[in-house]
Amino acid sequence: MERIIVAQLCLCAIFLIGCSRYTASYRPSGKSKSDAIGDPKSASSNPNSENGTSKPGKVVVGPNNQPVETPVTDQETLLQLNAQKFQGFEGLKAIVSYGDFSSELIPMQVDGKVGSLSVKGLPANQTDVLNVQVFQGDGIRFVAKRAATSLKADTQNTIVLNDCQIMIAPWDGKTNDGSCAWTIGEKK
Amino acid sequence: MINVNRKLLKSTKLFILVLIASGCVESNHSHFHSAMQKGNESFQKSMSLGAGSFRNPVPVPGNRLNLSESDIVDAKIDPASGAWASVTFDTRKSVAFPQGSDPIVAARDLVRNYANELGFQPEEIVLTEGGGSEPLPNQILVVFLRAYKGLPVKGAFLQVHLAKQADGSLRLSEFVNNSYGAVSIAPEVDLSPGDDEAMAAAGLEKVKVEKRELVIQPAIGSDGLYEFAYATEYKIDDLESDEVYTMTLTNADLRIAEAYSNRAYAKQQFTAEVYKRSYVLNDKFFSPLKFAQIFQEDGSVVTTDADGFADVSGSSVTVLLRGLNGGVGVINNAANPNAFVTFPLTLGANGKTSIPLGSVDIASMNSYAAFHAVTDYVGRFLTSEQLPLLKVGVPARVNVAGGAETCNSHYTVFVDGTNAIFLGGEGSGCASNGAISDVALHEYGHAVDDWLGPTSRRNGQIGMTDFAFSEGIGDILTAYMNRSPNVMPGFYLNNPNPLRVLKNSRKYPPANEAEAEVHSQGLIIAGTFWDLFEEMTKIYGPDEGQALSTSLFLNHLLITERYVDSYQAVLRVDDLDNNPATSSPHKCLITRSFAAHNLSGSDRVGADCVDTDTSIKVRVDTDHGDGKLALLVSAAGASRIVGCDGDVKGCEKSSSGFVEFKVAGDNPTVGKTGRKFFEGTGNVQAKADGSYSIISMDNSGKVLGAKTITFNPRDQSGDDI
Repeated sequence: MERIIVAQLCLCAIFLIGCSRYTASYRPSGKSKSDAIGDPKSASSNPNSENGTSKPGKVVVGPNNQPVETPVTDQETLLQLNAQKFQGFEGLKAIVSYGDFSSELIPMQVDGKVGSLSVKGLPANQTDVLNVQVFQGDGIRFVAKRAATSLKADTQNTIVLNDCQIMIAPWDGKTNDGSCAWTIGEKK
Repeated sequence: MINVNRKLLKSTKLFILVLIASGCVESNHSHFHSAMQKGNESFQKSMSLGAGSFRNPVPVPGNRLNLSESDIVDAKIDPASGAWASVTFDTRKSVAFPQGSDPIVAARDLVRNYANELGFQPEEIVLTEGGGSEPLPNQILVVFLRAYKGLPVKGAFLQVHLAKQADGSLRLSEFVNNSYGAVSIAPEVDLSPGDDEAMAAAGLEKVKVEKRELVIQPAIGSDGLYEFAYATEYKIDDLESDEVYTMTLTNADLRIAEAYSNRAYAKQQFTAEVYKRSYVLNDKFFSPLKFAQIFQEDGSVVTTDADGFADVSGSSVTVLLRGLNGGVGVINNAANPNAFVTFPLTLGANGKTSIPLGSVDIASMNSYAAFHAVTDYVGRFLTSEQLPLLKVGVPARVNVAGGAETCNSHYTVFVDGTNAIFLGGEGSGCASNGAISDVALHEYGHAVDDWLGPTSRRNGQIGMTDFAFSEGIGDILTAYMNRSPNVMPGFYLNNPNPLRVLKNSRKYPPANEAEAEVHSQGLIIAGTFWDLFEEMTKIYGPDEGQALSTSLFLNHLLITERYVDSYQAVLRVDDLDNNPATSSPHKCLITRSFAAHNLSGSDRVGADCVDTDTSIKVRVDTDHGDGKLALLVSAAGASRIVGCDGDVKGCEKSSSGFVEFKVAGDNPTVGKTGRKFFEGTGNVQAKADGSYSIISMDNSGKVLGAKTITFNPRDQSGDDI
C-alpha cells in the first residue's frame, strides 16, 4: 500500500513538473554589453593599465583623441532589495546594468526581508541609472531602476532599493504604475 | 427567425401548441454518475487534484546543514518547514555501518542522529511493510512513515538510501525526506465527524463509508509554512459502481483536504470536425466536443469538459449530444424527432478521439458545436445570473423539413413556456441551415433577446417584444462573433453570398413596407452596431474592440426592449460614473454610429469629437527625481502616442510638455501579447494637481482617442527596506 502511495506521489510530482514547465519569450543572455568592462582578463591585457596592477577600467576616447580610462569600483557593490515582492519565488537571479556595464546573471540571496546581490566591476565616479532585472529561470519577474546613482571607486558601495522601486515584470500594460514619489490617477 | 414571414411570427406569438416537451425527447439510456459527477463542487475539485501536495525544495550549501561540505553531493531544504528535503552523500566519505548491519537499525540510527534536521523524531517512525528492500543491486532502501502522537501524518515519509560496499558494509547515500518538519497543532476537535455529516460535507449520496481513520493533515498556510489539523480519512464505497473514494476531511471545519479514486482514469479528448461559419466557405476545423454525454461499455456515463476531455475506459463509447445540466442538446428531426442525437464511437488509441466531418450528421454536429461556441462567447460578457439561458440552454432541432421550415429557421416559445430552435433542412434551393454556423448564432440571438430586458422569460413573459430588434440582435451577435458584417453565407445552396450585410446606410424610420419587414428593418439597428464595432476596433484593435463592442451591445439588452431606445441605453452602459450629465468615454463614436442611422434623436457630434481611449495605461519606467519621469505607455490599438501638458484632446510639437512615445520593440520589461507598448523619447515633468494628456493616433497621425492622467505625490513615510 505504501509503495502505491509513493508511486502516486511520484506520478503527481512528475505531472506537476510537466505542467509547470514554461518557456519565456525573453531569455536572459547575461552577456556583458562590453566585454572589456570590469572583466579582469580584459583588464590584464589592457595596454592602458598601469603596471598591470591598477584597477581595471573602461577605455574611452577623451579630448585630443587620447584614450582615457574610467575607473571601476574597487570592491564588490552590494545591492539590497526589499524582498516583500519576492515571497514565493525561488532561485531568483538578476542582471545588473549601469551605464555601459551589464553583469552576468547573478544569483540573488534572499534572507527574510532582504534580497542581496553582489556585483563586481561597476563603473565608478559617474552618475547614472542603476537597472536590476530579476529573473526566475528564463522568465523576467521584476525590474528595479534607481536614477542618479553614483558609486565611489575606493570604498564598498551599498545600494538600497525599496519595495516601491521594484516593479513586476513584464508589465501587462493593464494598470497604471507610479513610482516611489508619484502615484498616477486618471481623469474621468 | 431567419426568413420570411410575419404570419409565422404572429402564429408563434399566439402560442402554437407544438407537442414537444423535453420529456418526449429524453434518451432511453440509464443514467449512472461516475466519480467526476459525484459530490459537490469541493469534492469534485479535490478529486481533480488527486493525492499529494508538494513544495519545490531549495538548494542550499552543505555547511548550512551542519554537514561537511566535502561529504555532500547535493542538498536541498523544504522551504515550508526548514527541514532537509533531500541530501545526497559521497559514499566514500559518508557515515558507514559495518558488514552485517541491519539496514533498518542503521536507518533508525541515522534518524536519531539527524532528528532535528529531518524534522522527524525516532519515536515517530512507523516502519513500512517489509521494512527495507533492495530495489537496485547494492542499493538498499528503507522507508519510514511518520506518526505524530500515534496519529499518521498524511503523506509524510522518509526514505533512507544505503549503498552496500564491496566489503559488505553500508554507507549512507541519500535522504529523501517529506516529513513536513516540526508538528505544531492546536488542541482542537479530534473527534471524527459522523459518516452522515462527512458525506453531506462532500455532497456524496448513494455511498457507504467502509472505513475511517483519524490522521494529522498537513497543508500550506498563508505564510507559506506548513500548518497541521486533525482530520479523518474515509474509505467510501460508491454503491452505483465499483469505485472507491478516499477522502480526508478536517475535523474542525469539515474541509476536504484530499480526495482521490481507486480508478486510474484515462483522459480522452473528443473533437469534432465542423465548420467555423458555413459549409460554403469550407472553413473546417476540429472543435472540442463540449459537455457531451459519453456512455461507456460498463453502463456508466461521463460528460466531456469544456475542452472535450473525459475520463473513459474501454475501446468504444456512445455519444449523446446533450449536456447533462440541460445545456445544449440537438435533435435530428430527419432521423429521430423523439431523441437527442446519439452515435457510437471507437476511442482513439492515443488519447484523442476525432470525429471527422460527415461521419455523424453534419447539421447535428455542426450546430451542436456552434451553440456551444456562441454560449461561450456570450458567457464572456454576461453572467448566468444576468442571462439564465447560459445555464439552462435551449434544445435545437436540425434538418427540419416542410411547410414553414422551408428555407427557414426559427426560435419558438411554446404555450407551455418551453422553447426551441428549429434549423431548416436542405430543400427549395436552400442549404441545410445546420451546416451554417451563422444560422445557429442568429437563432441563439433570439433566445438571448427572449431572456434579456425588462420583459423577459425570467419574469414569465415572452422577452421578444420588438421583432425587428430581435432580428437585428441575431445578426449583430453573429457579426460580432465573426468580426464580419456579412452574415449567413451559403444560405442559398452553394451560393457564397451572405444572406444579409450589416455594413449599410439604412436609416430610421423604414422608408417603405419592404424596409419595414422585420429582417429588413433589423438591419437599421444592426448597421448601427456594426458602425460602432468598426469605430471601437479603430481605437482598441480587433480584440479589445470586439470585446468592448460586444460588452456594450449585450449589456444594453439588459435595459432595452426597443431598438429606438438603444442609443440612450448604450450611453447608460458606457457611463462610468452613472451621471448622464458627464460625457461617457465613447460618446463620440456612439453618437456618430447612431446618428448615421438616424437613431440618436437630435444628438450629433462633430468630426473633432475625441473619445477617451480607456485602454491607455502608464507606468513610471524611471523616476529621475524632481518630478522628471520616464514613462512607458500601453494602448490596445494605437499606432502612435504623443503626450502634452493639460487636459486636452490633441498635442502639437509646440505644446507644453510635448513628448513623443516610440514603440517599445525589444524592451524585455513589457508584455509581449495583446497590447502595444511605447516608451517616451523624453521625460515628462510631473506636477502635483497637474494634468497630462496622452493621445493615441493611427498610422496616419489621425487622433483615435485621449486619456488625461494626473500625478499625485505619494506618501513615502511607511517605506522601509
